[in-house]
Amino acid sequence: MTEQAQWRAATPQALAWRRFDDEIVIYNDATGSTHQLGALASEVMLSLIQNPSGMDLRALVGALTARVEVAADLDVAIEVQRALDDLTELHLAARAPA
Amino acid sequence: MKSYGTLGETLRDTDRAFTDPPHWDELVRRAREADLLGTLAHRFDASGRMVDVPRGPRKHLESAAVLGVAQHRAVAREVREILRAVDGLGFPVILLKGAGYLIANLPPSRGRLFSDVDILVPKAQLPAVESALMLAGYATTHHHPHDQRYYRRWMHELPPMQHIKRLTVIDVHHAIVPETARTHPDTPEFFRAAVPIAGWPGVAVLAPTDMVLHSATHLFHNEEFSHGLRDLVDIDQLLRHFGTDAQFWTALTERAGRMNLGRLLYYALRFTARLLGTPIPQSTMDAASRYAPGRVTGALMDRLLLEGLRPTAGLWSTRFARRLLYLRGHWLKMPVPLLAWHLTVKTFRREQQQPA
Amino acid sequence: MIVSELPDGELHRLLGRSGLRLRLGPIVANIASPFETVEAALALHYASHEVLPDSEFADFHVAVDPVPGLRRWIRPQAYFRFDANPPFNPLAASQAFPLLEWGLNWCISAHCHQYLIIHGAVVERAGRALVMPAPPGSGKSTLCAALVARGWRLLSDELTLIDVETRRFVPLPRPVSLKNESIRIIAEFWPEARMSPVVHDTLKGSVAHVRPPSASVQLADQTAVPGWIVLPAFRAGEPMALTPLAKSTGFMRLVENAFNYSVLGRRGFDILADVVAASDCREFRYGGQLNDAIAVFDDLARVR
Repeated sequence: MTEQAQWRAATPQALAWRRFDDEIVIYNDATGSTHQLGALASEVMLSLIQNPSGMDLRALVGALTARVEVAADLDVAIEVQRALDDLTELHLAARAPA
Repeated sequence: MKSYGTLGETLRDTDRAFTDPPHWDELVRRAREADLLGTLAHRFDASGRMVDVPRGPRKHLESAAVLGVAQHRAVAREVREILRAVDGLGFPVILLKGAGYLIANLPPSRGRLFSDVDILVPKAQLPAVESALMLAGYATTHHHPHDQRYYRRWMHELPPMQHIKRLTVIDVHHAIVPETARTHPDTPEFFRAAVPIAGWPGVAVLAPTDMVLHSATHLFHNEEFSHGLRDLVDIDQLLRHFGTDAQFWTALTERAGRMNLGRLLYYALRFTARLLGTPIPQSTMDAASRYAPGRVTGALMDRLLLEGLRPTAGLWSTRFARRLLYLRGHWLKMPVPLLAWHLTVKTFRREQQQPA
Repeated sequence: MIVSELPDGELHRLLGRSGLRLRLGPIVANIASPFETVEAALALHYASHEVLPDSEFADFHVAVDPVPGLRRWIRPQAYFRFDANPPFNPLAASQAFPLLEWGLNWCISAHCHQYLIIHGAVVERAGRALVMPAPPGSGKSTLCAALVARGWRLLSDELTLIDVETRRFVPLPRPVSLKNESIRIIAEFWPEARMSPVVHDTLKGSVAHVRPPSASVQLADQTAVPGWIVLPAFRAGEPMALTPLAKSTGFMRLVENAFNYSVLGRRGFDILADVVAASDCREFRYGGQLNDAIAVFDDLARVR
């Protein structure tokens, strides 16, 4: 798992989402599942949706910190990676093929 | 043909619902009972007449259509999951019945309501398939040892497997008719003739003739006749779809003969023509008549099947006919001594389950 | 003509023959049953409901019949029939009326996909709907009955119907079902309530039904727009608290409590998202003081 790995939304055509305050709820027609994403995961997911060509970890961290205020002691990269892992497990995000 | 009730007539011709308005109450109820409400909805939609249906029944037709779409999505997802589970086992899986019609985009899938997925795998691969499915989260059902034995040893399938989280059910078959039955179609032959589906690697459907024959065996060999009319509707649609190719009809009778399914084909053709007006070439009807039963059996089967196929389960004569057909279904599947034992155990267990 | 206007003996005759055809909000049910308890309960709870002739289309043909054979006489049982089929196991004959109510709930929630149907109670004030989605045991039925007692209009105590086209809440006014402790609580809180006799030993414990106010029945054609989504939680003895609830959480609760959300797929998602966006979402913990609870809800209604 390198920092250059590209990530994208798994099945963009199948997704429907709605933002409520700092969280989103998202429906994936490919799996039939509906999810509630916490604030950080929501930002990551939205970044992926808005950048269909893919984003690497650095770009995601950049996008996140540009949009939202983050607590100083938070290791953003680790949290973003964690969010990506969760989103992958939910079939919402995927590693783009090399 | 004796009038068969509003459902049969409306399926044949939706315009009849407007030139000769049915009791919409009855039509919706019979269709729902026969599991044909979605199919009926599709027919109205396709003929552009849904807007003319009065609001009361229209809501039910539209609901059935919505449900059908949801089920189709769910089945497509399930098939993808199954493929993921058996990927690497090195042989294709044949999708039977509803799942097959859906993935191969055939007419019987339009508006169809169904939920289980039926697959056919080579008998020798059964243990490997069962393991692969269990690894993917499917658990066996019917835990009573008697039922497990019944399914595995005497029937042509594993006990239904249900996914732990999605709760969807797969029926894994290794033959279309059980081994102990008196007729023995050739399963490896079905595999050799199977047709792959574009866009779905790893999965196939039966060849057109085999699809019709399987539907016929399902209809007439099965224990449960509550879906009899629905199965006939499937056969009718398959025949109309494949029948545009003249060679199909010759291949059909030849195939039936070679696989010892002539008698079943005879019944299927006879009843779809009579009940649903399926256009069948006379030469095919003649060829199939070779397999007709003797006069007495024929007359009895005619009556039983016509009665048993009525959508109205409430009629006493229908229920009785269905019970006889149920016994016949069992009889065809298992040698008689086994049958008695099985029925006895089933009855006994049902009584045990009655609330005290 | 409404049920209470039927000539003497007509209700009994209909129930025993072709069936009583009743308008239940947007649904028409044809009901047959030989049980006296069912007849009495229908006469009580559906007194203001419209009776329709056989020529009107009926959405569901249902019956509650005695189980034939020995069970007719020895520990008699009743079973619910939808068309020719019994979707459930039989219950003791004393539970015939609750069985009818549960059976009707099942028919509607399983077959009416022109609505997004949520398991929960919904009442109305000033044209706005207050929805309480809730799994059993949350106290929603008690709250619902109490709100109705104090003037909120009953739309439904079990099945919240949202029209998929209009996103509006559609009334289905039927008896409010109460269980166990709530029966006593509501009887005290709402002495004018007309309640049918308590039925004991059901799977849910003791059950009784309260007649819907005739105003709720008469206004069944008036839909409501989204207003509030309140998740009730009964915590005996704890102080009451009405707190804001994240809309995303409110949304998920609706999804979890919807009968046919997955049937409607993406459309279901859009409908619920629209409803939540237009609603005030709250969590409500209360310990049992119904008067105080009602005051909180009345305040909530005044604010909007």
